[in-house]
Order: sequence, then structure tokens, then C-alpha cells
Amino acid sequence: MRLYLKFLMMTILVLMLMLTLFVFMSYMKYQNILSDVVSSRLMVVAGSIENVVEHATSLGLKFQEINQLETILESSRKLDEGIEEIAVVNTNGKIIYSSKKERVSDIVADTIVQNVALETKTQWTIEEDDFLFVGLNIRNAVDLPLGSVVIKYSKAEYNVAVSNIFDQLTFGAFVTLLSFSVLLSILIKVSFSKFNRFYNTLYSELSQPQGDLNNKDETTYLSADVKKVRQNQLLILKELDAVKSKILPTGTGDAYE
Amino acid sequence: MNDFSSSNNITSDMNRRLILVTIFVVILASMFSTIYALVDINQSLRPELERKANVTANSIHQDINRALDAGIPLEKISGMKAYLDDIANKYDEFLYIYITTPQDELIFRGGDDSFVFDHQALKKSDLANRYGKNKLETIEHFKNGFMQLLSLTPFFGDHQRDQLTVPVDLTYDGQSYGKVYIGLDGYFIRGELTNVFFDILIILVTVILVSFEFILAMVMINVSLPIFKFEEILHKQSNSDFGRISYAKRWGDEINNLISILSNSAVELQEKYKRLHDRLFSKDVTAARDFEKIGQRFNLQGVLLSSGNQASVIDARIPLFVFSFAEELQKSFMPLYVDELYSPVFGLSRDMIIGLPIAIFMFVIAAITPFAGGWADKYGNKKLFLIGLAPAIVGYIGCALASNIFDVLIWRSATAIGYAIITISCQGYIAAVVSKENRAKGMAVFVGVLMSATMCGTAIGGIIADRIGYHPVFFISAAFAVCAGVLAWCMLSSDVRDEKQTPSVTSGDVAGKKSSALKILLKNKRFVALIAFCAIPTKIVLTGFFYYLIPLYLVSLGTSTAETGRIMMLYSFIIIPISPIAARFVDRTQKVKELVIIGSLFSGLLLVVFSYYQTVWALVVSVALLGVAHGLIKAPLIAAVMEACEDEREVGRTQVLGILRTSERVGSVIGPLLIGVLVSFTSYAGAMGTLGGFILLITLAMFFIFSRSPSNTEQG
Repeated sequence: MRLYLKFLMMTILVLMLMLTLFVFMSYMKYQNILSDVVSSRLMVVAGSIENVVEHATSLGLKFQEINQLETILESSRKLDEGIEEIAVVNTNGKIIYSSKKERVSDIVADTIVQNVALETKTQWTIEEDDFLFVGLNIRNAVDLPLGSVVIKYSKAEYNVAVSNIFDQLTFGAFVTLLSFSVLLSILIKVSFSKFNRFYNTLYSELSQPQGDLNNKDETTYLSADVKKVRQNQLLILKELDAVKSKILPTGTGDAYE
Repeated sequence: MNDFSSSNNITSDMNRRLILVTIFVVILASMFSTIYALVDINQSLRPELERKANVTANSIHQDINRALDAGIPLEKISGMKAYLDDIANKYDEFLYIYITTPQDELIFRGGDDSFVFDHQALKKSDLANRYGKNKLETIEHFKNGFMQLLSLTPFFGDHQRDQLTVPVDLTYDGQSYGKVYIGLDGYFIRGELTNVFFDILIILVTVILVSFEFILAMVMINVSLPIFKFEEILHKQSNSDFGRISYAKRWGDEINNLISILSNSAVELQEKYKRLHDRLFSKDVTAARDFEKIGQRFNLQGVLLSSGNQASVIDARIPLFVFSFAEELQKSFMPLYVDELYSPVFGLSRDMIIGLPIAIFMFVIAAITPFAGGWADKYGNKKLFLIGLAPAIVGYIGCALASNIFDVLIWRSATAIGYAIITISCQGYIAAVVSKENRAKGMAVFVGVLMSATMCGTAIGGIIADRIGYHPVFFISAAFAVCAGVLAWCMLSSDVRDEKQTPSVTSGDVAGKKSSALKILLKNKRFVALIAFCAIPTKIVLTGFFYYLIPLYLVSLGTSTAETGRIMMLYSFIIIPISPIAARFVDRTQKVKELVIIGSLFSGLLLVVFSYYQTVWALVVSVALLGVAHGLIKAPLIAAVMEACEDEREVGRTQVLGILRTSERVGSVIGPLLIGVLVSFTSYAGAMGTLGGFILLITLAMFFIFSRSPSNTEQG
């Protein structure tokens, strides 16, 4: 394969690598940003429920006796289409209130319990393939942990947005690859003209018929060496022929070529 | 006559052309992709940001309806102002919230009161938003996004700060009783999108740096090596050596075709010779012996012996880049990872424990490096690189499986051993393959590779870890380290040895040699001056001022963590191009110590000058200029140290480099401590100025020492 084609393939490979890396990194970055934006939106919902709970407990109500909290959870669930469930859990992970009544008294998953128990964080997010869990830890008037508002968010819409971005980025990368490959082929062809001249000169010097050593239009810095090599080859052949003619008289049929 | 004058000339010309073409196209394609990605991401994110306002407005709606349920009329709800203030202040993207009548007359407002309620503006924003939503067809989508992108710059677009969202109608029992308007902070949204822009820009720079390394490797494998091979065979044959060529024909390109012609003609002559010899030998043994003289003269029975050592800096460049990249992948999240595994240890504070793995990593590197220098002289750089991979890879896998802080400490120490060994073996390799005249340039490659890897690894590692978690990133690092090993195996030459080192290094005497090497070097005034007055202070400035003071100072001036990170990246970004330029200047002029002194003076001076301007921009400029100063110093300093020790025949180059790197680590430890003390006595600006003054003073001392001691070149 010609060097020009080899380099064209190489540079297209570099371009492809670059675009793949770019799409991959941008896609990941977008997912990170979108997760943050969705979490922050869900925090608004969690924040309004946290307010209700904290106001109720500061008025002296027990955590388990807040009237209408389930109704509030149910109406808050409707604030965002993606919200599957809103629950208020205690520090042991037991669901005290939920927008899905049948889930009350259930224990949430261990990963959520670990976050509810965290002293250092007030807000947390857990991302799974299909769901996003957003939590806001609640404290009472004397700053003791009460539990957490946990929102389970379906990532269906999120996944569609992410997949759309991936498709668009891939399409963009593909168009870029095609158009810039054409540009690359032109630029490399032009850049290689000087090298091609050098190669062609050397090639013709090395492969021209013997005895034509002094007939050249163009030379390279290696031409002297090439000439010397050719002379050496002729010399060897001449010496071998001399020995051959001495030991193998002509007409014997013992050709060694 | 053809334009090329040597194989180096062809190689460098081809390298230059190919790199220029590829980088030009890659940059152009990256810019195109960046704009495309930004437009898409921008278009996709903006509605998401506005949706948050909508959810908030609906939440307010529910709260008001609960008051209405209790029989309180809207106008009589007490504490409404405080309630709205609380919501507006809680979220950075909201400026104010209006509750109006269905006819847009203001009833309540919360948030920033400095924005005047404008009845007409409410109508306009409502229309604008609804109009905009109906028009998002494909081309409009791209055009819209591009215009929004332009509006991120100070030169285009509407820069009004508050942007009203579509109102949420307040209804109760099917009856409309008002509207909720939320004023979005346009600066906040622009800031978020600017963050995205800079993140994508960092990805772009990273991708270009990775591409650059890839092209260098490709050119070396496909152009440099075959051309050198061809030229070597040509020279041998022109000097009557037609020995058999060990040559595997690959992808018959032009250069390989030339090699083939030479190889084929040699094979043809050898076969002729052999047949004739066999025939002659069967007839007349004495004549055959006579005939063998021709074979000996032209080496027709032998193998063409390669001169072997065609090692170049690029051999070490690619494996070092891949390994450093693997190592840097965890830098961005290491403290967070340690925080996840935190448990109280030895009564140390949480902050101290979080910093412990980094401190131990540095300590192990400092402790191992001088020994590694000796091992490089003993085992050779290639073998040492491969040996160093073992603890590094084990360390990565161990960290990925770590379940507590002790595991992390142990496995990071293992990685540190590998890191110390590998970096010193690469530095030693480069020192051995470059000529004295190209030493600074060679060292600039070393510095540049580490800087590029730092930028790429940190940026990519952070993004990957955010997505797939911390543990898998360590496995990715291990995989990259294995790749680095394969590359080192293929690319590093085993023949590279420090010709300055005496061959008598035997096992068991490395430690002894080390201490005697140190003793010898301590008697060398110029070496001591460079270490004490330049290498250590430069690291003090780097870790004390740059890594320790700058983040704290910037945050105190109100910059965000992301902005601080970007400002800090400026340093590496500037060093990458400055370092090779400075190195080329040094190699051309041989003014090594002059450049080191100028760089040191410059770094001291900039710290003093910019300590008077206590603004974010002053710090940005000082970080950029520090990049310039250190770019001037880094590679020439290594060359200057090696030049200072050139006459110390008993000490190998890698040993010198090992001692230099250990001294630098000492500076790295002193830096934060010194700045910590200075800050406690003065202020951030005071510490910066004092450090600058200290650097100026010791640079003058170094200048004084150099002006009184003749250089090696002058001596001899």
C-alpha cells in the first residue's frame, strides 16, 4: 500500500479516535449535567415536603402524626410526570408516609438507608439504570435526624433525552468524519508531493537497468550511496561471472541463474 | 537536486507536515464538533432549567391552595412575602417570584426587590416563550441553539439579566384566581451553559493532546524507523556489505519497497554466490577456499548486522504518556474516594485522613526515586520500566477492591513504587538517547508528556468517575498500565545505556553507590546551587503557592470550585507549549543557566508584583505567568543539573536525575508548610509577596555562585 494511503488511513483513524472520544466524553458530560439538573428540580419538590414536616414537628406534632402528609405527597407527585413515588422514611429506612399507600411500613433498599443515616450530607442522589433516587434528610428543631424525604424518579424521559443527545452527537461526528476525511485526503496528497518526488527518484535510481548509472535528471542526498551500491553489485556480478567462466566453460548447460 | 538533505531531514519534514495537517484537521473538526455538541446540549438543557421554575411555581400553587382550603382568602395569607423570599433565595437560578391577579396586577412578590415590576414585560415574556416553543424545527433548532450559544459571549444577544418564565395559572375549584411568574436569573443560566462550554473545551484540548501523542507514535513506526532502516542498509551495501537482511515486509509502502529492492538484490547475489560456491567446492576445494574471499569481502554468506541503537526520545514518550495518563485518571476524585471509605484512624481528623494517601504516595516516590536511579543503571531502563509496572498494576487493582482506608494506603504505596520506578526509567532513557546539545529538548519532552497526561487524565478521569463510579476507574487505569507495558516492550530499546556510568555496578552496591554519589555531588558547587536555589524553590512555589494558596485565595475572592479548577488548568496548558520552545532556545544557544536564572527571577518577580492586586484576574494572570516561568525553568533545569554533573564520572546520569527528583519532592513537602506558616502570620497576598521576595533573593544568590564558577563548557 502506498505511503500516502497508509497515512490517510492513519490520520482518518486519529480523527475517528478523536471524534469517538469526543462523543463519548460529551455524552458522559451531558448525562452528568442532566442528572444534576433533574436532581435539583426534584429537590424543589422534596424541599416543599421537608418544609411541611419541619413546620409540623416544630409545632410539637410527632413525626408519625402529621395529618394530610400523604395527600400532600400524592399531589406533589403530580408536580413532575417522572415522579414514581414520594416517601418519607425514618432513620432506619422504614417508610412512614408514601404516595403509594401500600408501601407504608416497607423498608427501603440498603443503599438508601445508608444515605438517610448520613450525618454529613443533607441532600443525596442515587442513580440506577431505570430510576433516580433523590433524598433530602430531615432534622427536627434540635437538629436531630428524623429521616428523609425520598423521591423515586423514573428515568424513562431522562433516558430518551440522553439517547437523543447520543444519536445527535453520533450523527454530527459521522458527518464531521466524512467531510473532514475528504479534506484530509487533499491535504495529505499535497503534503506528500515532496516525498513522492524523493521516493520516485530513489526508486528509479535503484531499479533502473544496469549500465545506466550516469543517466539521471534528478538526484537525492542518497544518490551517491545508491550509485555506490549499484557499482558494488556490478562488481560482485563481474567477479562471480569471472569465476564461473573459469570453472564452467560455456556450452556445458550448467547455468546457475 | 531533491530538497531533502538527510534521513533526519526527511523524518522531521514528514513528521512536521503530517502533524501539522492532522492537528489542523483535528482542531477544525473538534471545533465543529464542539459547536455542534454545545448547540445540542444547550438546546436540551435550557428547557430542563426552565422546567425547574415550572415545578416550583406549581409547588407554590399547591401551598396557596392549601391555605384556600383552610378558608383563608389569597390576599389575606400572612407571611407570603417571607415564604416567597425563602424560595427565591434558596435557588440560585431564581431572581424573584410574582403572584398576580389573572389580569397581571401584582399581589405578592418575593426575592430581589430591586427589579421593578413591569406589567408590560409580563405580557411580552409570555408571548415570546409560547412563540419560541412552536418554532423548533430541525434547522431552526440548530440556528436557535447557535444564537443562544453566541449570547454566551459578551458581544451578542440580549443580556438582560431577568428572564420571566411562562406563568402558571392559579386555579381553585376550576376558577382562575391568579398567576405565578418566576424571574429566572439569565446570568445564572448563562453561567451554567458557560460551564458546559468550558467543560467541552477541556475535552477538546484533551482529545487534541491524545491525538498528538498518537500521531507521533504512528509517524515513528511508519516513517522514522523504516527510513532509518533503509538508509542503514544502503550505507552498508555501499560499503560492500551485502549480508542477509532480517526484514519483515509489511504493507509494501514506498519506503518498504526501497528496502525490498535492496534486500532482493542482496538475496539474489547471495544465492548466485552460494550456488557457485557449492559447485566449485564439489570440484576443487582449494579454488573454493580462494573463492570464499569474494564472499568475505562482500559479506555474501553473513547477516547484515544492524547498528542497533536507533533509539529516540519518542520511544519513551508514548509508553510514559499512557502510563502517566493511567495514573492521573484518579487524581480528580482521590480525596472523594478516600472520604467514602473514611473511618477514624489513630485519632486523626477526617481532613488529615483524606490527605493521607496523597501524602504517603508522595513520600514513597521520594523514598524510592534515588534507589530507582541506581536500579536503572543496573538493569537498564526498559527492564526497569517493565518491572515498575508490576507494583503499579497491583496497586490499581488493590485500590479498586479496597474496602477501608488501610487498603487504600497500602495499594497507593504500591502504585507509588511503580510510578517512581517508571518515571525515573523514562527520564534516564531520554537522558541516555539525547546528545548533550539536545538535552534540554529531550527533557522538555519528558516535562511535556507529564503535563499533557496530567491534563488529559484528570479531565477524563473526573468525567468517567462521575458516570461509572470510582472503583471501575482503577481497573481502567490498570488496563492502560498494561497497554503502557506492551508499548514499552515494543518501543523501548534494550541497548540504551548511560555511557557515562561505569559498567561495574553490581548487585548489593546500589545503596552504597547512592550514598557515595550523594557525597560526590554535594561537593559540586553548581549542582548544590541548582538544587538548593532553583529545584527546591521551584517546587515550593508549585506546591505552596500554586496547589495550596491559589485555590484558597481564589475561593476567598468568590470563584466557584469549577472556575478554580479551570484557572489551575491554565498552568499546565501554558507549560506544554512553552517548555519545548525554551528547550529549543537552550539547545541552540547553550545558555542553560541563564534561562534558569531568568525563569526563577521571573517567577519571584511575578509573585511580588501580583501580590499587590488582590483580584481574581490578577491571580489568573499570575497563574498564566507562573506557567511561563516554570515552562522556562523545568526542562533547562534538568539539562543544567546534568551539565553541572557531567564531569562527575563516578555518578551515572539516572542517579543524578534520581537525586534531583528526590530534592524536588522535599521542596514539594516544604511548600504547603511554608505557605501555611506565612499565611498565619500575614495574609494570602502577604504570603504570596513574601514567597516572591524569597525567590528573588535566592535567585540572586544562585546568580552570584554561577558568575564565580566557570561552566563545564568553559572549562573544557
